[in-house]
Amino acid sequence: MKKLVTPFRVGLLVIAAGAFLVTFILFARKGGLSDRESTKVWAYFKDASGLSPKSRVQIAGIPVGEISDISLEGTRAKVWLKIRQGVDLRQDAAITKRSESLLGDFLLDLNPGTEQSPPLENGGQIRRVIDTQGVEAVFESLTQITSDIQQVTGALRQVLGGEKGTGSLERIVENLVRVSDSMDATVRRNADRLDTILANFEGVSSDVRNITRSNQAEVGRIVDNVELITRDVREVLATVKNIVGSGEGEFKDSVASLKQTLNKLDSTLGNLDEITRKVKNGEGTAGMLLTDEQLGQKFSEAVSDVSEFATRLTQLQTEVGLQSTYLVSQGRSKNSLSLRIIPKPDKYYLLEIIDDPRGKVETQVVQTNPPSDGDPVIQTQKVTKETFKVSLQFAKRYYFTTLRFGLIESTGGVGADVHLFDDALTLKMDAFNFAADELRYPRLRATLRAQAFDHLFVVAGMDDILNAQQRDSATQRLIAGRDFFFGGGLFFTDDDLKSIITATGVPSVR
Amino acid sequence: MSIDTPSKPQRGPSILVQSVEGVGQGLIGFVSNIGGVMSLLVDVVRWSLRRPLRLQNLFAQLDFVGVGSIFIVALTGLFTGMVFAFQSSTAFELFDAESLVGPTVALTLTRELAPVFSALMITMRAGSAMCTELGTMRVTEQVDALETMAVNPVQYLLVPRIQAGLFMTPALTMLFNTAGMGGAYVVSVVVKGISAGTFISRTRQWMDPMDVWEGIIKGAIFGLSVALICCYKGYNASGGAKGVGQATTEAMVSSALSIFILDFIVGVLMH
Repeated sequence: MKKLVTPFRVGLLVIAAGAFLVTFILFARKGGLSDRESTKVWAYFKDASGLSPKSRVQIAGIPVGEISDISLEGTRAKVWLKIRQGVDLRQDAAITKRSESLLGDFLLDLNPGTEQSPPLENGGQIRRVIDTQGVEAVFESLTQITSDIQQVTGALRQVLGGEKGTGSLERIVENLVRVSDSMDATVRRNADRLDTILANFEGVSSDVRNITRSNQAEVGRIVDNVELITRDVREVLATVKNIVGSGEGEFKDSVASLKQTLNKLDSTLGNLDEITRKVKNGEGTAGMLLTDEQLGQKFSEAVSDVSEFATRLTQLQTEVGLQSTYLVSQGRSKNSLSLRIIPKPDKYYLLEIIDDPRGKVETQVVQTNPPSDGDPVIQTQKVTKETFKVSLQFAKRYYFTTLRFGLIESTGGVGADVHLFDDALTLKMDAFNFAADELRYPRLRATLRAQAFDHLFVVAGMDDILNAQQRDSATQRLIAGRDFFFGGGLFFTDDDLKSIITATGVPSVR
Repeated sequence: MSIDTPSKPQRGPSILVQSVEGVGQGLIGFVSNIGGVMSLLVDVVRWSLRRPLRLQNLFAQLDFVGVGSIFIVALTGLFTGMVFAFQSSTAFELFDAESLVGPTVALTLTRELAPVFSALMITMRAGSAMCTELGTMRVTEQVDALETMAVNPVQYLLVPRIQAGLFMTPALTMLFNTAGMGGAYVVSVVVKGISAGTFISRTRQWMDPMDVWEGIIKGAIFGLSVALICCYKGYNASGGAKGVGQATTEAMVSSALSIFILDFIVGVLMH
């Protein structure tokens, strides 16, 4: 019995290892498609990089075949595909190469074609090859944007960069330091006098304000007179300027005009003297303000409110962003430019301009009148237009959730964001386009946004989740229905813009 | 009258000459070892085909090399798969491509890590024991005693050990694969929250049967190489206990190096 123990143990190990091997082989074996159960078709690609034999071919995300062979013909790649027998391929079938992830995992999306077109025979060619490159397209957009920014910063650097620019900036800073030091010393020396001056100035400004309120008619006249004076002074200056190159006649006229102006100014000063006398006597609102303590307090509160409003304005934050996403079923990119105005950390207003390849669907009623008697024929047609869409939303944040409402892609809508991992990951849900005739359900969009770096983010998600796909019969463009998307974008806050300006300086006209 | 002239002191060889000699001796030793191992391989093949087959000896060695290494190989595989899945998922999260964790772990394990780590474990656990045992038998003249009794020591001592290395390393490689993928699945799905369906389907999409076969073939080659080197060093040990120790050290170093060199060569040839 003991003799059997060793072979038994060895046998068990061998059986277990064999079972593991068989399991792994069966698991890894794809089965493939034999010639009998598949249709072989081919297509030319300008760029077959990332494709290899056994790469997937799919319709609506479901694998229906694989690449069987790739060969070079002239300057193009001839790619042979094995498509499962049940797939009804037509001669207007289209194929798109796209990447599944940011790491360059490629596959082919197949559109089998329309029923109106004749069937595609075994060994036939798919003529419609759409050369969109997925991630490359997104990156190309981002690269272009980055290039533009580099050009701007390069120009700024060219204007104020180098030793000369640095020297100028250093001198400016040194001067500012000196000025602030001397100003500080002056203020310290003359603190009491400054307080008195400020008090006087406050009193004068109050007086003037009340004068303008209570004596509007007179002030209006004063303003008219001042306007006339400035006009005359401008004319005098022009005349003086012309004297250098012309005769004395105009100068005499100008002197006469100046006399006239001085007379008017004398009259104006007379009016002003009358007004100040009234104020001194406590007549009108200005006089009341000087004598009425309650009115003065109200005026002080009003000034305080204005000051608070100004403080809010200075705390206002803005954020400018660019986003580009690749729509998988659409096969095109969607781009948007956004401006986020953030008056408070938990509240913002979002304005977006969106270039959506879905376009805007409009319903038009066309009435055709027959040449002879008879009822007119009324037809309804839907027209897809390529227009920019606009979003304008108000958002309020509660803890890790942000609620939004307003205009989403030129239609009314609501949205909610869930922020996770210190806002590094955001799940966004949007519901909009509630009233569109061509949609059975409202357009619902789910987006996952991940903050990759400081100013760079990536997004992925699904658009129009609830509706089935609808394509424009003429252009095959997707106008409604669910579609996956992924992409990325950049955003800058006004702090970033300040940093750029501080680092590079502001261009000046020489 | 005789004048004693002082004799010149005898000077040894210069440093340059010593260096050249050292390199030459190392090269000669390296080539001699390769020749010795190849010669032993020929002997082993020849004696494997002759009767008696001595199955009892073979099973004893299969048990020692294979069954005895199950625990250490499975444990190594489990933790290798777990840590590899954890680190790769952390990296792939940056690109929003966690779905590639399964395929990455699977391809790396089946093609490279499983055969290499299994062979290293067998080298440490069984190869050292083989070398020490044979070396001790050699210096205590037990091998000579076998020859005196008309028993061929190659057939009696070496053939079962080398066959055990050849057959058991691929089996342990499969065990490593299974434990590693199990660990990777647990870390990816349970700890990192990757969808189980995604993990399995993407692994299946990317893994090919040829990847598994590549690992098995590498395991067999590494097992044969390790067993041959350890047996050769032990069988030719000399110089008492110290010589046996030195032979074991050389066997370990040579075996580990051979695994990595052969891994590169086989990898290049198979792709």
